Amino acid sequence: MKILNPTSVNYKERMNDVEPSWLVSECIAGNQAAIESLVRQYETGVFRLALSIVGDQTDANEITQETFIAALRSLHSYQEKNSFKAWLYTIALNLSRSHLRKRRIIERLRSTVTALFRIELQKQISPEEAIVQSEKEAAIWNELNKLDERHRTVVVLRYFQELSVSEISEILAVNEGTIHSRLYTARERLRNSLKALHGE
Amino acid sequence: MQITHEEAHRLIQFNTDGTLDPNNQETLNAHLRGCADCRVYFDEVKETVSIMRETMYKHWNLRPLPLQMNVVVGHKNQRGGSSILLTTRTVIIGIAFVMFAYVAWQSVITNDGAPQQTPLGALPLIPTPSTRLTATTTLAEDCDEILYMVKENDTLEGIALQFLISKEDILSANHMTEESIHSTMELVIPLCKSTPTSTIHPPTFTTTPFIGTTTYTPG
Repeated sequence: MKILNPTSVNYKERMNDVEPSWLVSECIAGNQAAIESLVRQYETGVFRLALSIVGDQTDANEITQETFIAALRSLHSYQEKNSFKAWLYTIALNLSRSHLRKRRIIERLRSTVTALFRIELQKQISPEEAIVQSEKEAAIWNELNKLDERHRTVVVLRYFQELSVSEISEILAVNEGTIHSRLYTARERLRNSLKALHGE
Repeated sequence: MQITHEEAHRLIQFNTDGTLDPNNQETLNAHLRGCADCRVYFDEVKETVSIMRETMYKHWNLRPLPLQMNVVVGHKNQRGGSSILLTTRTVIIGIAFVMFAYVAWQSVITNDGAPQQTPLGALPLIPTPSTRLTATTTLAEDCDEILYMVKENDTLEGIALQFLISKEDILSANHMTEESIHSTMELVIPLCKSTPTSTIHPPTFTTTPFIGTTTYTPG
């Protein structure tokens, strides 16, 4: 364990290199610099995870904030034997999923209202769609969005967040065999979408 | 070591998942060298994963708005603040409840005791000009009486005037036929006969709390 002098100039910078367990114990003790260091170290990862699940930057920012608020509140319940990143991502994932559920309810309500009043809303082309350049990427992106949440989450955690199968298993609280199986299913669907593209 | 195509496909999955151990990796490589179909499949899987990674990075490789530390930490500390608030609120509600219960209990006791009796605090003392009307209304219903100890130099008219009643009422209340009174004599004063016509203030007095009547002692 590294011992740092809080008065040193590079204290904050150097704290990025220390073990998460030491940082966590400092955060529990109320060390403001440690808390900030912890937040800065993980906020991008948490944000990208939330973004990949909910698909909206504003919502992802909101979820990132909620994740850290929730994590700092329950920091004492984190056990050092587990990966801190996995623990934090579990919170982020749960919040993202709950956000998705709320959004689905709202969307269902909106579609009901639209149907009731026969309002035809124009489908807006999102900037995300404009980003997609190649056909292959478009095919993969579309198929990725069609995946159900269980399969999509493992793909995101494995190939975007670059987490190991064991870490994903810990986050989702399902065994590694199930993770392999979901990854395989998702990959096969994406591969078939590419093949369909070649076939056309 | 020879493996079947199915086994090779399974190893390809583990390889892509990033969990293939070196021995099995070597076995897979050996199979791929001799099996064109499996190589094609492996390349397809690799291409899928590669495009998928690229696409996800293009869409999601964004940075968050830097979190405001005061917001994040503020919420962390709010737990203690909210518990203090909660405690304070509970204590205030508790005190209010106890006070309410006490008042309710008092009122129940008063009502159960003797409905005809007037509580000490509301004894029908001599009506003052400001409370005269109310007192008269109340007294007309209750018709309370007080005992008046006659002093020297007292006259029936004077006493009647003090209590805003007529001397006939005093006479009838005491079953007297003559108007003569003397000191140490006790007179029953029927307060319900008092009328709001006089503006004379009575002398100061003390009351003793025996129920229904008041002993009057001129100061």
